[in-house]
Amino acid sequence: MNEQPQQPLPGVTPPTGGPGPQPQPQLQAQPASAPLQAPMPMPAAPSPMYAQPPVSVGAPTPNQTSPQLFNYNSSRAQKARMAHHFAHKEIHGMLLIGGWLVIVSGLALVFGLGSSVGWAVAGLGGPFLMLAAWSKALQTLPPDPRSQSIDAVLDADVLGVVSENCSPQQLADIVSNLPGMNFYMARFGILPRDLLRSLVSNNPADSARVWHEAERLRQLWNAPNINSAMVVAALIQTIPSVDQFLAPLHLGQDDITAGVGWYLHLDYIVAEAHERKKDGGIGRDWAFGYTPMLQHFGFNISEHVGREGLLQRDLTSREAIASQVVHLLAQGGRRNVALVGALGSGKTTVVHALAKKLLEADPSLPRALHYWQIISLDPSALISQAKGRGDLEGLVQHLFVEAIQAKNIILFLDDAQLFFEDGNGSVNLSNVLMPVLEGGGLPLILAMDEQRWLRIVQGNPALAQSMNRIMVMPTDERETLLIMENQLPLYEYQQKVTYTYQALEAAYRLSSRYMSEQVMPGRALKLLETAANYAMQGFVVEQSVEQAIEQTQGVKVGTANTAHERETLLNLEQLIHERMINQVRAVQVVSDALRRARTGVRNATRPIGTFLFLGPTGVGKTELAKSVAAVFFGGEDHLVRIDLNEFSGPNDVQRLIAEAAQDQHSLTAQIARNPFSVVLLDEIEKAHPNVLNTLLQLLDEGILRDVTNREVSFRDAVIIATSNAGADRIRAHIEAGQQLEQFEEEFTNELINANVFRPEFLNRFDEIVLFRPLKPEELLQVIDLILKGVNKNLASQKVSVMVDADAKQLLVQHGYDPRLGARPMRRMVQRAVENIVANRMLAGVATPGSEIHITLQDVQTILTRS
Amino acid sequence: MIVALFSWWYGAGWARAAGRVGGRMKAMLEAFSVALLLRTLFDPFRQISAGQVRGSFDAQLRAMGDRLFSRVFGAVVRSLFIFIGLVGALLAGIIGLIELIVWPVVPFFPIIGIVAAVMGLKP
Repeated sequence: MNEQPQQPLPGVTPPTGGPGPQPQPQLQAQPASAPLQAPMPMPAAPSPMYAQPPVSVGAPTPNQTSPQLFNYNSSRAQKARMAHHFAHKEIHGMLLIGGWLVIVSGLALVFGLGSSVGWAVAGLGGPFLMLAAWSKALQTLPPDPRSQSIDAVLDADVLGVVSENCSPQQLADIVSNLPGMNFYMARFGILPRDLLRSLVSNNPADSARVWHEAERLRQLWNAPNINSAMVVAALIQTIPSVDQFLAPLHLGQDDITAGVGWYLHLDYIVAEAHERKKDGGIGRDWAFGYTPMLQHFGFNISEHVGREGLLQRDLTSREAIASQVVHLLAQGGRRNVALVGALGSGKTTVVHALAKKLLEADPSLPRALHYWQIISLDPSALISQAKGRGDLEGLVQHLFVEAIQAKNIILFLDDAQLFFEDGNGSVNLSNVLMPVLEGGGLPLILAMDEQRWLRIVQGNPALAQSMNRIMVMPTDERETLLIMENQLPLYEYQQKVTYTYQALEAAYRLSSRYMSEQVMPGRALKLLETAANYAMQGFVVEQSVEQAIEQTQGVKVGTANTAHERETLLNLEQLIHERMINQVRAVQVVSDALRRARTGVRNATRPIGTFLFLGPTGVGKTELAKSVAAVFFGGEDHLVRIDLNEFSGPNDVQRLIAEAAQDQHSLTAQIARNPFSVVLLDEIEKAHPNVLNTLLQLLDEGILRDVTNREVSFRDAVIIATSNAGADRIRAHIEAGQQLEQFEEEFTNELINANVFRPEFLNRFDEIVLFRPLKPEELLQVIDLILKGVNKNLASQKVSVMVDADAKQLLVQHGYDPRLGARPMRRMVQRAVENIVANRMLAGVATPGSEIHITLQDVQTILTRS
Repeated sequence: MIVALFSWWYGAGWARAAGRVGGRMKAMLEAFSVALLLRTLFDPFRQISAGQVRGSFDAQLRAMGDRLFSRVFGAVVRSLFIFIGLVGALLAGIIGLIELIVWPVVPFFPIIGIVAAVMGLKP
């Protein structure tokens, strides 16, 4: 894996001059008597690698003018103008070659032809060489610590072309072709190139505000120079209606400021790639032993990192872990470290970063650890080479002896559980490992997730005693973004794409919500890598990330943006009523919730909607849930149905939240697999109180933790709980001529008083919806819906059914039971209609293309017979 | 421009050239691991025969002899490479010194050339 950028970063050409500690002149007007803004606050000292983002973003300084804020005639400004004309690589090359050619020609004249004129010719080469050296030097114009005006710190590519009384508009023109503008165009989508020019002031007096803002950014990021990206960011932030300008791009002013840090880091990566690598030289390993077996059976991380390089960004949390590991490895006694953290938390990356530091003999490391190497062992490779357990143990012992004798080897057991458990691709080598771990003669680093660590330690307490455990926690949003920015050059080189800032933010947001199998930063990086497959014209944008998560996780994350989808949302009630009769209020509240969700107008930290449907059986509660799954989520397979009468025991909670590996039909497993679903919790009143308590968090925060404590998000699910409790009371109220709205509250209180539901449970639902019993005339419509289904089934045989109206009336008369609702209607249709159809088809009466006509007499005959 | 060029040539430019010479010498010393080899001059070479041996007096005596040989061999090889590294750094320093001496004269190359031509200097 090549982790060094091998080509210029797409859309980013770093400015001249590498980062590094430089004098930090403070912006101040000249002369000192001129009124100027008070010095701006400095952020908490960021590292010279620009690893830390700004602590805060202050408001831009007010507009002000100062004749000496920018000194056009300073010596540095003059040099920059000269540099603009001839400090180019091509000119430097031509001068250098020309100079040596002239010298060589002159000397050839002297020594070849014996002509003394050659001395004069050769002498002319001197000025060429001088100019060549100066041209190269001018390419990097260091800040001038003696001056305190903007020109002392402004990058040469801007300073060389800026005019004396430059307006923000002219400044926008100047930077429009510089790397900083390319960066903001490519990474932030600020297009077209001359857009900025049209938004900023044409008044030269307004430039002071831009310079102040640029200087603030420089200080904020502790950068030596004001580069073109800072000027672009300053211009953007001084646009009068900057927030309105940025909002359509899904950006804020903080994002623009963060962009400066990203630009500086890219600059740093490129500069580092050009630096001479410290590899210890020819005699580095002469004091250490040979390790042929380890080289054969293991993977030398140090060698890999030394050869391929490592994109690395020093982050506070990771630095702390690395320091702890170094401290433990350098001390006497047991030098064993267990890195414990969830998948994706960066355990392996910590080890790779440590390998790089050791290999480079980082001055922060104890000298005793300089040039040590980390070798990773793979159990499956070892198993495949050994004939039996005895052979395997012998081989591993041999490897350990070799590592101990070499005196510079740290063994790394990634997925260390594979060495402590027997299984497919794993083998329990505790007998061989424990003496080594307890002896402390060989430094070992183990990596595994917390669950496995706890499981292994439970079975082998001595392991816990012999190890120093270090937790590798997931990174927060700020650090994850920095890690993503750091890794992108590699992805961009491999996939030939350019990532935008919005894509990074989307990757963090969406992966944290939908990729529960990993933690940060691993899941965000994984999503970003996948998103490259959905790049648009070579750019990975926010929509690319949305598409990636939609394809890989089966969720819908974008807002409604197609005409068809908008149409569906606006006509939800109508579409749902194509599948169910009446229950207008229930359909209305559910439709409203879905519309809010798809337009982004909802609380994103809760499920899309939580509803409690109360009413007698057969009135459409389940049918509404199915309809929502079909209409909104695209199919009834998006319905997760849990019959809570099967969860009436106190221990049934475990089944409800079982791990997918143990029970793929548990609630958490199904939602982790398909978070964009309708969760139908049937007969909720029959669930055990423990189960209801578990569901409280789900209803409240849209989160449920499975038995392994892994979060499963229900924030893209519609939760529908149903209950028949109090069905008789509803019927009684309706029969008394009351409307649902009139007794809704009273009914809810009755349920609480009767201890059917606790008030805190009912309060968790967005809506408690009562379903009214169906009237006989509504059952006629139900029969029509059932017949529609029958016709749909028969469509493949090109046969259709038509039932006379009086025949339908008879079916309703026979099937009507106010306690059972619409359910008997399906049985009636089965008995009367479907039987007749089946008989006629078998008798050859109904042939393809014919319509089966069912009359009142047909129905009477069949009902009488049965 | 001329003034700026000359002030740079005899100021920052010269200092930068001196820095480059120092950098080349340092790189040479690092390439031959001179500091590291000095620090480990008498360590067993590649840890050959460096392990502890248990057994009879003869075996231990033989192991000690082997260890001694490993250290002596290591010291010889290291000394050789330290010498090569130092010579390389010295050469780089000499070349650099010449460069630094010639540096201030370069602006006068045309004048020197013309004078030499007028004087009719020939090899």
